[in-house]
Amino acid sequence: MIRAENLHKNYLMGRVTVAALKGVDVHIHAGEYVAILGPSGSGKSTLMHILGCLDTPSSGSYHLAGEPVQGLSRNQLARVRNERIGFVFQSFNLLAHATALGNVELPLVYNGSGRRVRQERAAELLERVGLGDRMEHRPNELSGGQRQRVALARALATDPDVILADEPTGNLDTAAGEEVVKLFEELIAEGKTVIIVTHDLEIAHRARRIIQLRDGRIEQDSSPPRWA
Amino acid sequence: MQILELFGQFLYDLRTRKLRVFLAVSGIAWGALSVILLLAIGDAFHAASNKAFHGMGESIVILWTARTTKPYAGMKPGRSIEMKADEVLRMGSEVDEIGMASPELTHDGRTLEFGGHRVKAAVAGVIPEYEQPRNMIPMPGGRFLDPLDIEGRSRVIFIGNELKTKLFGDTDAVGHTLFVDGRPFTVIGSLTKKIQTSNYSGPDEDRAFIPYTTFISMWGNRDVSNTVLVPATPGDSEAMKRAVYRHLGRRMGFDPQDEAALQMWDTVEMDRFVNWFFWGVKALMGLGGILTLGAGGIGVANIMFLVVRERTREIGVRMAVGARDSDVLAQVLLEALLIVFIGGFLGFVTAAGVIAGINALPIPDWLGAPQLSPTVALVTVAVLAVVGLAAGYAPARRAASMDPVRALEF
Ligand SMILES: Nc1ncnc2c1ncn2[C@@H]1O[C@H](COP(=O)(O)OP(=O)(O)OP(=O)(O)O)[C@@H](O)[C@H]1O
Ligand SMILES: [Mg+2]
Repeated sequence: MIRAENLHKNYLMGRVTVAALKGVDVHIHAGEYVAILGPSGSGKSTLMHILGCLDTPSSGSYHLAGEPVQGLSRNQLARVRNERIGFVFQSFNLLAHATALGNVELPLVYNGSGRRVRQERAAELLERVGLGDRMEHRPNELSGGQRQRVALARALATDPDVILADEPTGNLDTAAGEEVVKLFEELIAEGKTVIIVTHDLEIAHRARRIIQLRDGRIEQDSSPPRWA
Repeated sequence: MQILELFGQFLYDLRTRKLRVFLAVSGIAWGALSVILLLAIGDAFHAASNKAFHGMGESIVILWTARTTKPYAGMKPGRSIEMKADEVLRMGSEVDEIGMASPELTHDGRTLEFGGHRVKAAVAGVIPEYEQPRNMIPMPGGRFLDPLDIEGRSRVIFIGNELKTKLFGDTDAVGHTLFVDGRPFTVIGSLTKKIQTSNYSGPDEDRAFIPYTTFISMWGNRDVSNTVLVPATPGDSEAMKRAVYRHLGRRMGFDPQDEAALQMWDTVEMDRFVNWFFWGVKALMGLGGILTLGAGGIGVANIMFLVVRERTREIGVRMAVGARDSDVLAQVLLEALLIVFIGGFLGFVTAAGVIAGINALPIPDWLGAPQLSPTVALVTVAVLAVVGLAAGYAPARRAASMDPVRALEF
């Protein structure tokens, strides 16, 4: 599903070049549940952004579902993000003025779905994450855990194969975090590929595979796929 | 992108940035108001002036005979050229480029009398076809001359509106008998009041018109004072004037190149000039309005830049879930257009009120009553659309070219 090789990412800070990724190889199969661990600044978010097609590597190659991602235009990348990837952020990133329903509908707006289809799908997903009674609530009327579940429903709107979550429980208390993690585990049971960045070792160990990043490199990959 | 969501955004901006949205909207409203008012007033002024200039007649040429300045066929220069009425009528039927030619025989200072009132006025002998091009519109219940009047040398008279008032006051004149130099004439009609800014032998309101045949039987077969010509092809007075020189040169014996032998007053030419002039006036007024609107547009561009800046993160979110550059561009442009059209609508409503107010005042005829014409409305909408797109474009481009990660981390 994901095949990234020799990824480098350099940031130019004034005259200094900061290397955030220094040659990362990741191969992840469909249906895998992967946790990414690493100290702050080790390049976890940078990697996730590249895997999520939100950012492009300075060098290296990346194939998503067998198709090369490098060289795609901005529009093509937008399409990949829309159709193949669901991204969950630490800080939820919901639209403040839209209802839960409106937020979940958003990816469907950009794939051209009709109004009815959007609303039905969004309602179904909100039911699924346990927010059937909060559809007309705006983000500031929801708790952190509820917001993150809205964000997860949004990530699922176009039924993408890959769910990327960058510290999804980072802003949540243990109970709320637990509910979100349970939802990720349900997705795995349905055959989705889930990659989750976390500082929480307990959560990480529930994943079947742990990738440890340090200083822009992979320090350890707990179960390198033998069948690759 | 759904319109509803767009409205939602706008209302959200309105709530969170009341003052700025208010300023942007009122800037546009003020601009739209000035565009509409200036266009409407310009149009009304043009229409009124056109009517006034056409009081004497529309696209006509007035012809006077004068003196030759070139020798011709053994005759010395300085000979004066004169025409009788039948010569004019003959020219009208023989020259293809002429649509209508009416002789006009004028006798100044005639005494007109009715019921103890007497006035001095000019009396002109003309033909029925003189009516339309010279804007001789009879008051209801009256008429101008007709062919039977010419044939029968009838003692009928059509009087200018001022003459009518002096002789008859407010009472109806049609059917009454008045006396011209002591001889009875039946009034067949009086002139509808018109604005006339140009004339050659006095304003029509002070003149009286009788069949040229009657004129000749009363005062003899005089030379015509002038001739009124209408080109066969509307607006093409040049071809007609050349044809008149050729025809009269041959008939009256002068060199067709001798321009001074005839004098022609071409209102077609003047019309063209007047139209140009007013287009210029309107363009200037329109430009003034458009500049005002442009200033309003800058206000909108300004607020859109702020909106885009404040919504950087949101734009990042949209991009993260699959918005293309064009989706982001369209959203910002549409919001700018929405602000502009809301402002435009307020301006339009205010302008309608102001125009109604102006029309309730006694406006002088020459200025004309401003109207909210479809043209004015259409031009305003077009200008607003241009302003909206122009104001929204730069902020929209900035939004659409954002990097998703940078926007999200903003
Ligand atoms: N836009 C940027 N410009 C410059 N340097 C950046 C930028 N984004 C990240 N970096 C640098 O790249 C490195 C990796 O950052 P990244 O955000 O990927 O770390 P992280 O592992 O996600 O850390 P955290 O656990 O704190 O979220 C850091 O040194 C960071 O300073
Ligand atoms: Mg991070």
